[in-house]
Amino acid sequence: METRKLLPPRQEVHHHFEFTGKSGEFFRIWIVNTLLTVVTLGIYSAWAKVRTRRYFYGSTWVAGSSFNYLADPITILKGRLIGMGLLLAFTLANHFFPLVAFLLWPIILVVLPFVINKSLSFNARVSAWRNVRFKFQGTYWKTCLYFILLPVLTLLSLGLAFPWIFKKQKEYLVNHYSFGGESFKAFFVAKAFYMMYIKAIAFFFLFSVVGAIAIFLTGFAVSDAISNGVIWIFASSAYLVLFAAIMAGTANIIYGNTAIEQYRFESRQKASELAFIYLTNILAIIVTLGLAIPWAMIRLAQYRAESTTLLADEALDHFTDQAQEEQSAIAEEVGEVFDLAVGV
Amino acid sequence: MRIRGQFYPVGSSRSQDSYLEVEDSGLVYLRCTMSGKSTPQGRFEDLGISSRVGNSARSLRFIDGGLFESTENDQIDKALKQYQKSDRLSLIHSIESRYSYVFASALLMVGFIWFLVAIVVPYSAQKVAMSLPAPLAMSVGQGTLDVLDQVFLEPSKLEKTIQDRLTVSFQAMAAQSDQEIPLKLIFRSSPEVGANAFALPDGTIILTDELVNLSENDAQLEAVLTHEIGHVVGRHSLRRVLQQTGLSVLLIVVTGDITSVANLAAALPALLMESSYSRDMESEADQFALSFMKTHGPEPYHFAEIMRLLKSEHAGESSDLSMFLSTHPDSDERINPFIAEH
Repeated sequence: METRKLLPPRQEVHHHFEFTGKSGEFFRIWIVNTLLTVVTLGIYSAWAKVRTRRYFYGSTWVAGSSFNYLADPITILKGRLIGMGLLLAFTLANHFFPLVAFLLWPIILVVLPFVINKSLSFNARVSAWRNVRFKFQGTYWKTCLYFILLPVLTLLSLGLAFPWIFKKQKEYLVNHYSFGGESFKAFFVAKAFYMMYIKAIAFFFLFSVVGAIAIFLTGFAVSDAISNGVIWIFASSAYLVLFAAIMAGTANIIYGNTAIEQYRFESRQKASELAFIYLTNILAIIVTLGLAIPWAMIRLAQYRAESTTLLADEALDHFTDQAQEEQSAIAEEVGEVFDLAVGV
Repeated sequence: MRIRGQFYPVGSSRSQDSYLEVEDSGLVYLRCTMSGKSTPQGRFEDLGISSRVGNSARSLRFIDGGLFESTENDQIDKALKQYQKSDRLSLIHSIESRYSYVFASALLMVGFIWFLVAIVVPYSAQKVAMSLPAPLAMSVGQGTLDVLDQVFLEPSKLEKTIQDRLTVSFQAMAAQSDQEIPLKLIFRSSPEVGANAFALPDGTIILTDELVNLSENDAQLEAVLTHEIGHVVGRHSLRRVLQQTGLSVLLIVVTGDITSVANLAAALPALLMESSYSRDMESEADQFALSFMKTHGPEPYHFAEIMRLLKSEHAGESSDLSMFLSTHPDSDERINPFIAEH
């Protein structure tokens, strides 16, 4: 640490993220994954997950180096089996003993922060870049505060507190990630989140108004079927635009205001571009009965990578891997089976 | 042999443009492109090499923990074949690299999903449902009647004498049906549902006033009741729950990595199966009714007649509700076996 102070100020370089995955190549990986998963009744899904992640990590580059996904499929399989067992038990309990299932909820809420923490730290620990791993160190009570208690405020405030809570959650996550012993730091302001949501909702209304006018016009001229179609198209595109605006806005705020040491990031996602990608992805998936899913995943990863830049010195050579205790994937997979999506 | 890539010393993010030189003897040297400095890294067979995933970057880990990363996958595979005696060249990768294998995989997958969904799930649901003790089977859908009473059903306005007469003949049929779940007949009126009858898992069979009024004689109603008894005997409600659970577990298994929106294609047919399951149960209840009527009466053609009446009654209305409650005529196909007996 002492030596770093003696170094001359380094020159800042734009390291653009790059994604080199190809949809044709990933299509073959994806379909073989799916087949083996089905034929092995899900056992292979752990390997499928690792192969998919390794493909995406290994195809994402910054400053001449790709990312690594290091999880062991066996560890993931164990967690997945336990998670499935719990899910099955819970589903059956719900059908046969609804009261028991109801009583389980408080227990689930108490265990949840622990599961979230383990899941985040497992995922961080198996992610590496240049032989140095990421790390997540959350505490039970903070996770409980930000992910169990604060969301209650969303309801109480009729949603008005949501952007603020969202900001607090992301801030907590970013601040507790580290890479090579250096902590990430979030510089978020609540105003940015509020503006983002206002903008997204404005887009939504704009679309709805245009849609209403279109329906009004077609309503006179043609059949019910056509105006129903028009309603459907506008309703789903309005929703898609809302979703794209939130996704792009969130990514821009988070990456654009996060630092590690003196390094920063830039994120240039555009709601319109992202909405176009989502729309064409969904259409392609529907038309091909799902076969376009790999293509859709690749396009999205490519857009995200291309909109992100790391501002740092040329060499990026002084991060050092910190010893980390081995952890099991059990909590992560339990969380995933119950569909807990928590992340930056 | 040379493999170009990046070297990262153990535990550091320092990156070095380098290449690996693999000698014929299997010894490996790491040479820095800039300085030309070369360091021995043991034998190739001792390197920890990650399996190939497309053409994404691959890691070769040295014994000391240092990492060499390269996208020269073909070179690495060649070296692997040559120096690592275990000839386990990634099988998965070789399947992935040929379109014909991929195509065969896709076909195989569709067939296998069909096998699971159309055969394995219903068969095991039936086995499990029949082996569970009767009280447990009856507990499925407890409180269904309360919900139905609140939402669709009103108290029956039928005369007491008619109710009693039908109850007596129902009890005779129940005694003949010979099974563990105690059967009970109740009457309800439901302008919303119209002429219909449904069986609940606990053995309660509901007959609507509208159906009683629609029927031309008691024999027709008895015919409908045999069909409903068939649902109870076959434990169809329990099987439905089990099948749904089985399907949703299957769905999760197939979609595997939920976070990556995976495999909608594989999940779709499973969802479509649900309606085919309930058709199967209908014809099973029909079969029960037919053989019951052959032995204990009434004449099977009564069933065909009430089905025709129901069909003209429900013609033209949306069948969502009756589909859901699963007691309604589907087609002439269903009626035919009952007429043939006449």
